[in-house]
Amino acid sequence: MHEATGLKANRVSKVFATPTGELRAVDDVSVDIPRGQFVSIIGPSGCGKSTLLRMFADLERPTSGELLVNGLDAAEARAQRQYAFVFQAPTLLPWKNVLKNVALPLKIMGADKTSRIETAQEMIKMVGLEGFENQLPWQLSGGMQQRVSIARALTVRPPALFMDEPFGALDEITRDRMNLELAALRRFDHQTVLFITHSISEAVFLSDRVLVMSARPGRVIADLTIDLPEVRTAEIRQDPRFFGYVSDIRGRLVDAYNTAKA
Amino acid sequence: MGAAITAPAPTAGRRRRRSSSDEPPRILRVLLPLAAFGVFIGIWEAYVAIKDISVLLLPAPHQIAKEFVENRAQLWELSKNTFLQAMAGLLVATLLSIVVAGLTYGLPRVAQALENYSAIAKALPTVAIYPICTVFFGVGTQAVIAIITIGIFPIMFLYVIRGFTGTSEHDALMTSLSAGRLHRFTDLVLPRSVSYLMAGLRAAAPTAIIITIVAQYFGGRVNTLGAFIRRESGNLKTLSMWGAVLAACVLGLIVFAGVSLLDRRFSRWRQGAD
Repeated sequence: MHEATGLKANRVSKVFATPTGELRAVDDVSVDIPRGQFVSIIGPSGCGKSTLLRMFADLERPTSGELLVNGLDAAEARAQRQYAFVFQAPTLLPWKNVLKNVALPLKIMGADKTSRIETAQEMIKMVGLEGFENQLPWQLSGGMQQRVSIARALTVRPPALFMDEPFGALDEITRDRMNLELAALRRFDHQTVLFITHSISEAVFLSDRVLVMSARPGRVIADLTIDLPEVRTAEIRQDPRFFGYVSDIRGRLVDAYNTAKA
Repeated sequence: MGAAITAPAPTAGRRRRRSSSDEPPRILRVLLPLAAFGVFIGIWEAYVAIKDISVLLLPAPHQIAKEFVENRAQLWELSKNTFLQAMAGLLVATLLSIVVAGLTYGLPRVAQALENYSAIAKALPTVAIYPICTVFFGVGTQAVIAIITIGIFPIMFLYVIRGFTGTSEHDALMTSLSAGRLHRFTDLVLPRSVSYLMAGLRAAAPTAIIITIVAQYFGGRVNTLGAFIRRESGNLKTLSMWGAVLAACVLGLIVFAGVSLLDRRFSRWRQGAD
């Protein structure tokens, strides 16, 4: 096994057949993400970043190329539960309470009832929702619902975490707070994270590395290492280097949009 | 292929979180409709009295109420028979829709075709083909159940198929969790289907009552509301007919309240969802 490799995409392309012809969503993308790295993908809307993530998760099949998760083919990695997926919407089962939603992956994996309740409660505590175990999803705010969905993802302690704009629907303040919490949560397990976002500051704040994608057909046009302190705290947002990265990425994104129009 | 025709989501337009500012207080929400109803009855009563209208033409509300109370034993019997026929038809239609939806599970093209047919069938005045049913089943219970099934099946099927095949991020979630068929069914498809089924019953039950009464009117056993209404109307027993019409209204309301309660009981989690 390729122990060093967390995630690897090798010349991956995805073409969708549409009524108006072929649509090339992802074009010849190769990335190599070492185990434990937090990588954000940022790019214009419709640039194929979600498609790339969903291909890693085996929710979409590539038209060509190969994807590896911890050295396993994406389909095999899904079968072996090598990753957890956090969707843009919390995607909680509305008829299950918080506890049962968080325990769902353990139930599917066949864990016995006592152990899954114990683990789920631990995760609920970690995301700060103690006391809400018996609430139904509609009784929670959007931010709380997304916390439940993150707790659900962490409950199986997956080696990789795929997050598709998980905080996109939240207001700015809630989003900042969720960013801090996610950074803190990751100190426990140090998962490999692939994170899709539209927010430049969110990408810089959370990531070890940011990939900038071009407009369709999506290609990786920049690969930046974010050299900020390992432990991300709120003060980092005031760091001059933080602003440097943000304006650098902003410039590259503007280029990406302009080439799309040209 | 045409665009997907979908059943309305079970959440459509009800039990929204109430904001106190743009809605009148609860007491007014109850009193205003009651007051409007009272005014309507008052005008009716006065009109009949002032114009001195014959009871054969239009009875006054108090006469209808009196008839309703006095004839309650017979009306109860008629309503019961109508109710049982309607529920039998509703049950057959519901079971049939579950079986057909189950058979098309995993065959999206077939399901889509049936959905399109159902959407068209729903718009047709199916009760008009009742005479054809009587050719096959004779005038009676079987023919009535058959026409309810024909009329209700498209409605129920559109809801049930949504619950079975509805693709959403929840399905992607189950895939990402590498859930097997059993868990996918028990944790996602079944609860989602029950919810859609309840919403379907809520939409279909009042229609089932209407179809039943109309079918009975055009040919049903004499011990049912529809047939009784036709007979009394033919015999110019207007007041007696009005009593049965009132019973039919009460039956419709009770059935609607019943399925609404059932829906609420099984779908409490939908509360507040927009």
